[in-house]
Formats: sequence, C-alpha cells, structure tokens
Amino acid sequence: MLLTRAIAAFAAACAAGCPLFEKAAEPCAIDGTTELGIVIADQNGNLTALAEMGEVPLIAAPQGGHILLAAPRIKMTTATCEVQVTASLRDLSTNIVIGLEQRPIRVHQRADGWATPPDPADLSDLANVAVCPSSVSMVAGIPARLEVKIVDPDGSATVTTALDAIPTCGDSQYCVYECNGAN
Amino acid sequence: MRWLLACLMFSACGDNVDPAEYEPWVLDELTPAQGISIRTPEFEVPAGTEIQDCYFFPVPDVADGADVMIDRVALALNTGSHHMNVFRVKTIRNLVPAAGVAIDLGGVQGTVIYGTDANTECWKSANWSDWPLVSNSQQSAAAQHIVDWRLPDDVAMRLVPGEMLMLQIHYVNASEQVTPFVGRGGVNFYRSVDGDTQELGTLFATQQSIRVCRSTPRPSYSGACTMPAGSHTVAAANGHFHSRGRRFRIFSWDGVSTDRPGDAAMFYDSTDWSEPDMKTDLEIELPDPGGVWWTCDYQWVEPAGGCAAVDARDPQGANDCCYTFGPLVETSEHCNVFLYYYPKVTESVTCF
Repeated sequence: MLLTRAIAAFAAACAAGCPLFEKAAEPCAIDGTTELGIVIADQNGNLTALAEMGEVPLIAAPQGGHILLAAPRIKMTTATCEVQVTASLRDLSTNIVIGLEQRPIRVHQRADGWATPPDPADLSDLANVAVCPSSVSMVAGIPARLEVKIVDPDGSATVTTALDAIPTCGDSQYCVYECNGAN
Repeated sequence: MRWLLACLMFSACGDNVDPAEYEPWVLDELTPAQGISIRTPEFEVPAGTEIQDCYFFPVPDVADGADVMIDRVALALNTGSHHMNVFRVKTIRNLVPAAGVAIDLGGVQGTVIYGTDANTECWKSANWSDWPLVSNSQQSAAAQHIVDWRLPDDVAMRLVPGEMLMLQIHYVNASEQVTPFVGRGGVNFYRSVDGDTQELGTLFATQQSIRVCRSTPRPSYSGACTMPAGSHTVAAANGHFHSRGRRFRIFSWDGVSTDRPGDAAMFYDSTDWSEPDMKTDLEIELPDPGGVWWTCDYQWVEPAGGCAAVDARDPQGANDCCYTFGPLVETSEHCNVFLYYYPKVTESVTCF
C-alpha cells in the first residue's frame, strides 16, 4: 500500500516537473594549461572578476562572523561543469592562512568564454571563506593574498591562481569591529 | 530498514515502547563543595517533531564569590537527543534569557525559551554566534547516556559565579532519530581540588551554506582554522553533521598549506552521525603556527518524506532536493567542529 502511494506520488511529481530532471554536472576537464582567474561576490551575489589589489567585500554570514565569497573563473568550452575548489586568504606579512574553505562549485560558461558561478549568485555558489573574527590577523582594509585552487575529480591535475586583494567592510562599523577590533 | 518502515507505517516512532523499559540516567547530585549540577525537566517529544530548548542559568556561587575551576564534566542525555551544548552567554541579540519562562534546573534557578517551532529564536544560530563553547555531548544511546570527561592533568575550565550560561538541548522523534520515552538532559561540573594551573579553551567551527543535492550526491566540504600564536594541545573533539554525513575527519594543520593534511595528521575520524564519540585524552600538540583542518563527506539520500520539505528550505529554489545548511535533522545539514584545547589563550576561537 505504502509503495503504491509512493509510486503514485512520484508520478504526480514528475507530471508537474520531475525533480530527477536536474542533471548532475560533468566534472570540469582541467589540466596544467587551464586558464584560471578569480571571481568574488558582494552581499547581493553580484559577481566581479578580481583584479590585483582589488577590493573584496566582507559579508555578514548567516551564522555570524564575516566571510568573503570567492570562486574560480575558468576558460573552457563546457557549458556547465563542477570542480572542487579551495579558496583561502593569507596574511602577507606572516604567510599564515587566515581563512580557508573547500567545496564543490558549479560553473557555467558565459559569452566571453569564461565559466563562473551564476550571476547573481547564492551564498552556496562560491567558497565561503570565514575570515572574521580572526585569531591571527586584522583583516578589514589590510592587503592579503586571495588564492583559488581547483582540482580535477581524480586529483591528478591542480591549477592555482592568487591575487593580492583588500578585504573591505564598506559602511559596517560592526564588520570593522569584528574583523579588526580584537587585534 | 525494517525499523524505518515500521516508523513510516505507524508515523509515531517511539509510541510503541513499553514505559516500564524507561531507565533514566543517573548522575551524582553534587554538593557545592563538589561542584554544580544542572538538570532539565523531563519533556515530551511528540512523534514527527524536533524540539530545541534553550535553558539559561547563572553559574551558582559555590566558592564564596571566587571563580570555580572544573576538571571533570559529566553530560547525560536520554535517548533521542541530537545534541546538548553549553555556551557562555555574551552578546544578546534576539535570544534573550530574561524573556524566558522561569524554571528550576535541579536546584539552580533559570529561565527557558522553548523551541517547538523551528522558526523561533532558540533555533537561530546567529543568536549565539559569539557565545563561547563550554561543553557538549551528542551521545544519548542507551549504552552511552553519559559522557564523563576527566580533563587532562593540570587542566581545568573556569566558571565565574553569576556568569550566564545557556544549555541548549535538541531532541528528535521522527524518521532520522527516535525519542522512545521523554527528553531530559543533565550536566555535572566537578570542582578541581588539586590546583590545576592550565585553563581549558574551546574552539567552535562550522561550514556555512553547504548543499547536499540529488545532482551533486557526494559533496565534500572542508575548512581550516588557525589558532592564536602559541603552543596548543588538543584534549578532546567531536564533529557534528546530520544523517547524510558519511565521514567526519579532523586533522592538525600547519596554518600555511592549502592542501588537506595527510592521514598521519588525522586525530578524529567518525562515520557515526547520530552518536559521534567525544574523543578525549587526545593529547595532540598542534603546530605553531597552525591549527585544525576538518572535512565533512556526504552522501545524498532521498528524504523519508519526499523532497518537498527540503526543497522548501532551499534558498536557491533549485528543486534539486538539496539539503541545505540548518539545524533540523530531517531536512538540513551541518558540518560543525567542537574542540577543546589547552592552555586557553583567548575567550573563544570561532571559525565560521
């Protein structure tokens, strides 16, 4: 009886737009020649390609603290693919990593040939690098190195890029306090 | 599987148990000279629900106004608990101790803010984001109701009389976890009497905005947390995720590398989402500089009640049956680290 009901419910769900139609993304095909850049997002999810010494918004995270949102931009021909990403922020004076996150990220090819997360993006579309509060560095307004690394599914190919950037609080005094106040 | 089918068919897991089988846990009742005992009342956990209650109490003055050093903690839970965490109350946002209902916590007077509805403040982690961890347990199975942790020699945690603490307790009586009888938790803080000189510190870390989706069924999330400068020894740790969690690993980390440390650096490895061990007596000296790295591996599974509930929580509205970050066992996922180290160097190390 339960099984019959489950099948009926599944059929009804599919009739209205079967959730199984959400396709798994192909792994991104990367090798040592893959061109890699960095995109960041602001609190509204708008993406920007990061330039050397560019500003990176510090965003109040849902569970507290401040994060920066970073993801790869990859030159490739695949329409949509997924890659395991490690994003980190490093103190330039000590070389110590202030915050690091590793997660799977799906990228979509844009008209310019670069693949990025969707724009605008959701928080989960980019690495959430937790940087404030920090036990080791002041963060807001202090240049630091933002590094993004991508790895192919079997771990045989790794591509890394890094840019110096300036994490920025904008108008939030609480952000400044949380990111710099304890140091 | 038979147990799961039985739960689905009767839609009231825990209703078909013999009350005579209820064997409540027993902790010592401590005198002030011995320490501090906290007890929640027993409470019902109706079938198909998750409950999270936040109990607040000031640390009793058991030492004529002096700080109390604690070198043994015993935490007890009836079967069905998902977690019990004790935090020090700091910045008060929307979870206000004074707004709670007065309650007796085994002789200690406090307040409680009930969380029978997941939209209430006791469920919203931003409310305690800067509240340092004191202690925690996730063990409530019949064979291990009590986590009894004797801190390392010469190490103790400090409690300050009058300081407000929150004991948060989460019970589940649904498809993923079952509360066969009633919910109840208790904590004993045993006073140190041997002059411990090193203070225990705590670290709480979490990965936010995680997703475990039908189209990305085996995601892995990692984070890393750098400790303040100095020498630190990990004394105990436990990881926390929900039923899609397959493996939780914690490593010591050099604070510089962006590659996951090798297995030789791993000091915590759990595949048990519902009753993860509190690993004690670890004695792991972290590199200086350095800290910890953690990895949560997941496997997506079809929700017992179908995808509607998880889809409704998805901020992306992707209709991909994604479990997203959140406290509800049935419909969301976590990747949290609870870690205890010494000597303490700052009020709390938070990484999220």
